[in-house]
Amino acid sequence: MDISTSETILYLAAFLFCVGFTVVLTRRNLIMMLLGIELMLNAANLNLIAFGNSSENQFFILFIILVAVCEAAVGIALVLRVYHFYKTSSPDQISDLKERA
Amino acid sequence: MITNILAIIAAISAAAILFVKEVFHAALLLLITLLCVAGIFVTINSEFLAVVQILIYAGGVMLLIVFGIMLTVRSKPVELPNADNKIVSGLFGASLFAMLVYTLGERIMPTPTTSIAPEEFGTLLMTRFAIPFEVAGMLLLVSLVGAIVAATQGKES
Amino acid sequence: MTFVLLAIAMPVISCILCLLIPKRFMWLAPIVSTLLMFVSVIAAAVLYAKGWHVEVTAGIPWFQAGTSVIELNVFVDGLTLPMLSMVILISFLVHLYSVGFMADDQHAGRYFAFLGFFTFSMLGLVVSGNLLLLFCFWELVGFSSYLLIGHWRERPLAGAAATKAFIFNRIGDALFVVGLMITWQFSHTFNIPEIDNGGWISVAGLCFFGGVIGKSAQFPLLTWLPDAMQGPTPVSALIHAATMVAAGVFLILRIPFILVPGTATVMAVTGAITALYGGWKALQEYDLKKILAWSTISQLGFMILAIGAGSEQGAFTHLIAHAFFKACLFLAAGAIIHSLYHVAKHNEFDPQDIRNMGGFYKVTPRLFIATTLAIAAICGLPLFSGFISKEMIIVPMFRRALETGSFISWTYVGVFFVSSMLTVLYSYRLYVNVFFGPRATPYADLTPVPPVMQWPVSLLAILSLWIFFSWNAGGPGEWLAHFKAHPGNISVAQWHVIFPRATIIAWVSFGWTLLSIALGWYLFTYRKTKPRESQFDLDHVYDIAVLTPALRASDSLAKFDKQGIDTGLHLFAYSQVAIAKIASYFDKFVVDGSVSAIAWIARASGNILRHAGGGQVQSYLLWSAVTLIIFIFWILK
Repeated sequence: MDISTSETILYLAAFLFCVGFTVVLTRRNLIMMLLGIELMLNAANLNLIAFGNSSENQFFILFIILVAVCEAAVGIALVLRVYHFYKTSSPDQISDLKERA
Repeated sequence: MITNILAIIAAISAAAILFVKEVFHAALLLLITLLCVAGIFVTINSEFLAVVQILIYAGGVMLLIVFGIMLTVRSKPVELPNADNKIVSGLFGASLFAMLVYTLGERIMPTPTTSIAPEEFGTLLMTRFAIPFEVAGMLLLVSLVGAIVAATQGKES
Repeated sequence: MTFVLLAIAMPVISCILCLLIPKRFMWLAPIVSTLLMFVSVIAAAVLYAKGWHVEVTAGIPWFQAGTSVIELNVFVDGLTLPMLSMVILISFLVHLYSVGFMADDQHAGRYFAFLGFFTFSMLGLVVSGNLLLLFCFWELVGFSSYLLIGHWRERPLAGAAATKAFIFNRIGDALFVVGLMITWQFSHTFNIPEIDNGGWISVAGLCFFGGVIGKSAQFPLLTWLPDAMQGPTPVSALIHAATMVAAGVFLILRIPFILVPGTATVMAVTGAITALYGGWKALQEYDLKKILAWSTISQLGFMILAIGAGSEQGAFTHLIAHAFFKACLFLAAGAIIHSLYHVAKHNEFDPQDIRNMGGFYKVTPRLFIATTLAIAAICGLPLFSGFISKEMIIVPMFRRALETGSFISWTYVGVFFVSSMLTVLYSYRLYVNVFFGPRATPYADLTPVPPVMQWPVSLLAILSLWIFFSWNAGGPGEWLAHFKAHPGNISVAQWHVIFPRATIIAWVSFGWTLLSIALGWYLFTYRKTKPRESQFDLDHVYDIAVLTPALRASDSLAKFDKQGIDTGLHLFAYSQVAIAKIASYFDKFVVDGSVSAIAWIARASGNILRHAGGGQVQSYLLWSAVTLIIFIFWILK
């Protein structure tokens, strides 16, 4: 693995992170927001591997993926619950905790 | 070279997620991105990670997401309310990217070390990283139970 | 210093408390304010015990005008202290008396609040050490007297009287302000001890005297005082004896440097006219309170005359003495009117008319005795305060007349004797009409006078005895005689050295009083003289001299207004319309446009801000991320 590959991976990671974050910010759908989070986690993985693929790094990435799975599973479960309760998956319409003027 | 091509594909498909209307299309585009990332893992000699990426992400997570989409989004595409902060968020994302690129250009890149083979990886998993592995398994189990409880409890009551 | 402030603060606290007390607990107001006044009395007593020749000056900066700082300062000296104690004592007694007098009044709370405020204003006036502060309190005294005279607001006459008092005072106060300006221009300070003398002082002095004319009801501006009788009687007592009218005389004594010869002559002449006119009017009135009011005017003129003729000590002593006996007379009169009030209302006669009184000596013996003492004091009989004060006035006056031998000095002496005689005459008439003679009303119908109203009267009557003014019943003694370390003042020891004829004058004066009483007996008991119906009244003069020309001028102005000005106004209006049209176009396009632009900017920025806090999870996320990243970059720099 040479430096140019490493740089490419870093730039890709930065791009994926920004896209993921923008997705989280703009899309009006809870599942889309989850997608964005997955993208950002991937970007983190890529960033980590760009600094070397030693065994420690790889294990770190492995555990990150595991945590991402857990997050996705719990997140999807919550989205389903919210959907059944509110009949919507738009975060804006879930406003029970919002202060009423 | 292959890394660059894969990176470009990943970037394009990721960028497309921002603009597609259907959630399902977005999920497919994400799948492409994840597969490309797995390809990148292969090119830098991290085959184990590539397999894990495909198995867990492309298999598990995407399956979960597709099920989630099927269970929430109605057959007819719902007109989602227009995002008010699209411009601001877009600007923010772009500027964040610009800042990251600027920062990357300034820093001296570290030299990556050589990789290890999958057999060695498996051995390490059972020896040196046994405890984190067990803890991760525990975490998975707990989150699995939690997800089941969270998803089903409402229906019984 | 502490006690001075304590004494002054109590009336204010009483005022505030009385205003704050809710309607249900209104019965508390008289008790609370009377108790607070009692505290004030104690503070004054402590001040006395400390010795009253001490000068206290203290102050804090009030505001800055240019380079000069005006201070909020207190100036207590031998002149202030007797005055302060007198005001507090009489105010306390009036409070006490009012507990009984105002028992049935709906607005007792308001009454007591204003009474406290009135007292506070007067106390502030007495202790304030610079002319500007003094003027503030001077105005407050006028204002609170306005409130109190108009206390019975349901009576139109009371309102008119209050307004009249207020306006008459304003006329004088305008001159006062001019005096202040002159003082500032030439002396650059308002601090009383620091004001330096100069040729300007006579002009400034005349202006200050203008203020005094208004406040102390001197010759041209005196008719408000009898009208002010529309107020509650205790208020009249307070106005006449202690606070309002005394303020004018006090002012002159406070700034004695204005007494340059010319000003002094003006004062003396004004005082002389006032004294004679007041005494003469008092002889013709039938209204009990109005007789007393004219009497007050006469006595005030007397004091001003004394000051102008060079007997400041006497004038001050007379001020204090007069305060006690006049307050006593007023309160007694109030008690009598109070007792007559219900039967008078029932039978529809005037409870204040002395023709409806008579034979009161049997009804209220204590009031009778008290009034007898006060009348004796006002007439100037020996063993009473009036004798001493008149003695102190006439002796220096007589001496000056002998020394200069000028006509005007002898005129002062003449006026003194004539006005003393007038005093005795109207007092005699009042006394005999009220307490003796045939009974006009059956005793059984009279409302009994409560003890709380009788005690203050008795106390004031006792205070009219000579002992409170001098050991020596025939002349000045150690008490009030040298009230102030003033160059013109004469110590008691010097008195008989300087005035070897003082004893003779005392005897002459006593003889004159007896002669006057005899004349009174002849006129009112023997001949039963009635005053003429058609009377000369200063109010008519005002009507002819001021009101009629003013009305005529306003009529002709109205005519001019209609013919001349209206045409011009029409033209002006047309041009106005044309300009308005142009202005409206300008308005629509330029002004409205810019206003809309501002509104649009405000709306746009508001929208942005609204999203920041609009309850949208993603917006929150966005802004927190922005913040976080800014923070990170700031740290990494």
